Amino acid sequence: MAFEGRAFEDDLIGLIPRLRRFARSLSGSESDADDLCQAALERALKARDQWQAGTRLDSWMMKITRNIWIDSVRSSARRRTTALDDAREIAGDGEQQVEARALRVDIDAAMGRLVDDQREAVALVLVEGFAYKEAAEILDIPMGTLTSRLVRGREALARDLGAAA
Amino acid sequence: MTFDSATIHAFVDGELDLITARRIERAMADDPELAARIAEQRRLRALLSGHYDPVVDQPVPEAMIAAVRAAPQPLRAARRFGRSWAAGAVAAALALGLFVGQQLGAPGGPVTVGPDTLMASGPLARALDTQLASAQPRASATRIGLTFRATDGAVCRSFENVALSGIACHSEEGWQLRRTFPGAEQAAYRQAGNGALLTAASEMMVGAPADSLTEQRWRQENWRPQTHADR
Repeated sequence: MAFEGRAFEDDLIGLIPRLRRFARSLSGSESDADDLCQAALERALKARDQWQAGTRLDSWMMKITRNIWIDSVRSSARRRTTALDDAREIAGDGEQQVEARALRVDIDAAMGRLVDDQREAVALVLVEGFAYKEAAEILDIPMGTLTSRLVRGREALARDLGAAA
Repeated sequence: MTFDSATIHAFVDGELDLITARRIERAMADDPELAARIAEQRRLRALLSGHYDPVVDQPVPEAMIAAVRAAPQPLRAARRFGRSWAAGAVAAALALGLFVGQQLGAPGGPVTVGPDTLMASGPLARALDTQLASAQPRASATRIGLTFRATDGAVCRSFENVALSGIACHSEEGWQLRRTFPGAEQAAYRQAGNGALLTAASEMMVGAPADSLTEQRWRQENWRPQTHADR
């Protein structure tokens, strides 16, 4: 490991912006996303010997992030409720200038209403731009399962976002 | 010719083979409904990108970079510990923010970062090892709260001190921190922290908390009581 120096750390730091985006699309709020991201970085650093050099670090990191997210979703339903409360608060502002912001919140809320397995599929393919094959590997599911989750997730989003989409 | 949703989506995602993609392109020309469905999916992609992509351009929080830079170079990984809660403990510790982080990182502080988790160290570890809730030495900076058996069989103890409060569970390596909260020094958090501590303990607990006799017996057995029936 010594020969690799700090390259692993540098690569990891380079991935942080994408990890934050992915975490944001999963968790729906900035603060939850950053907590998730921090936890993923910590876990990655501690489990670094499990990463195989030559394989894609981004896929590995997304997998870690996604697993931590799933753990936290399953252990508490509170996070989503908080995000939805925020959304209601903003919607209650009733100012025109909030419109753009409200649309943003709508997207978070619409993503939040997807069931978890659709949301992660949508996040990986539509937000992160992974190919189906890569996304299926990250989620450890067959391609067919991925594509059917994508179809259901997208249709729900398109319905939910109505005229916007 | 009709195309199912999966095919249309795959077309939008650039996942179709060339021949099918050409067929869709030709069909779009005289099938407005197909064209509209494709346009809708393109808008959805654009909407999601427009919403989430700006996150990539935001400055990365210093704390994240610091966490990566501060990581020790790899050691042999210990795989004994369950990973799901370890991340939870780490996330909780991180959520405390830098003020605790600085104290935690200091040599002689209450916490050391183990291969896969946070471990109690120094006086905190000694308090967890020796202190009974029923007989807390006045000189001790740490107060022990509940002692109980967790769902995985480990003996766990809640504790509070100035820098940190939380729940530590006994393992071969020592006391692993499974939950952490701000300590008494952050007075504003104290009440919330107390409630959170109790809630966390009750979620982790199997059966009732140990009474003082059980607590003493577990200490004699080095926090590794043999049977699950002792209460």
